[in-house]
Amino acid sequence: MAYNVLIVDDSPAMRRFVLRVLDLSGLEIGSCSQAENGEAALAVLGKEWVDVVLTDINMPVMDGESFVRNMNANDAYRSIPVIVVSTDNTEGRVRQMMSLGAKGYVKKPFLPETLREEVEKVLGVCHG
Amino acid sequence: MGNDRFTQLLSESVGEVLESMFFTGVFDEDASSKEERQLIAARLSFRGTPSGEFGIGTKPETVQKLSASFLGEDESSISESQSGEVLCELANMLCGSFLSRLEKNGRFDLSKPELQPAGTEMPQDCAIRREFHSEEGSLQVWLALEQSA
Repeated sequence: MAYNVLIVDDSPAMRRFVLRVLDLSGLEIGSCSQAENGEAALAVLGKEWVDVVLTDINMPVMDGESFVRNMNANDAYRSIPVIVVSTDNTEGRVRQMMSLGAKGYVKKPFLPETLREEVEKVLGVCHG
Repeated sequence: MGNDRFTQLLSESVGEVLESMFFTGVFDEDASSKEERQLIAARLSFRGTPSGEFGIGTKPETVQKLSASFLGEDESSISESQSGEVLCELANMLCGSFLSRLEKNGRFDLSKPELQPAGTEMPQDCAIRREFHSEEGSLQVWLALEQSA
């Protein structure tokens, strides 16, 4: 099964790095959409089928916290798993994002296999 | 908190970020030299306890090599704009990693990293100023803290 991924980060370099990690992960990727903030990401969700969202927190226009809140307020998006990928590794922030509905949290910097494992976990991908 | 502790946390952060996401390691570290060099720099400010500024600087050829490692591309295909984006992201990750080590239960707001014009000088009142060496070249890192009222 191929998964459609949405990467939300205001850094084009980081979006590219995440895409590269997913490409190398062996996970079957269908489409990979990108957005530079939460508002742009909501627009993508309104047009495309997405299986998993990877989002940064600290972004202009609409940050990751507001984005996840907006997703959870919308019946159509609430079931899409969200993984936060952020430099903010403080315990309070991790707890807050998970309480808002995020299903995973990957702290930057991360090893490529850490991101892959988190994506597989929230998608319920089994090996073997 | 003494400068030794800041230096230790900074070293841990630089080592972790370069190893895990740039696939290179730091093999040496020293107090940054003050000689004038044409560095490309990125800096950002952070709000919390403490608040301050964080910056990194390196030679253009070093950021080109680091960008190639990060993006998984040949050095020759890396544009100036891409290397600038990677330098900003490196500054963002280093600052976030350092602050998370400094205050695990703290809350910090980081500004968007900005590229600095070539030849930009580091703040004179840095709490920490270190230079890290890797195969790709040297990376200067500095940290300036706001004085609490």
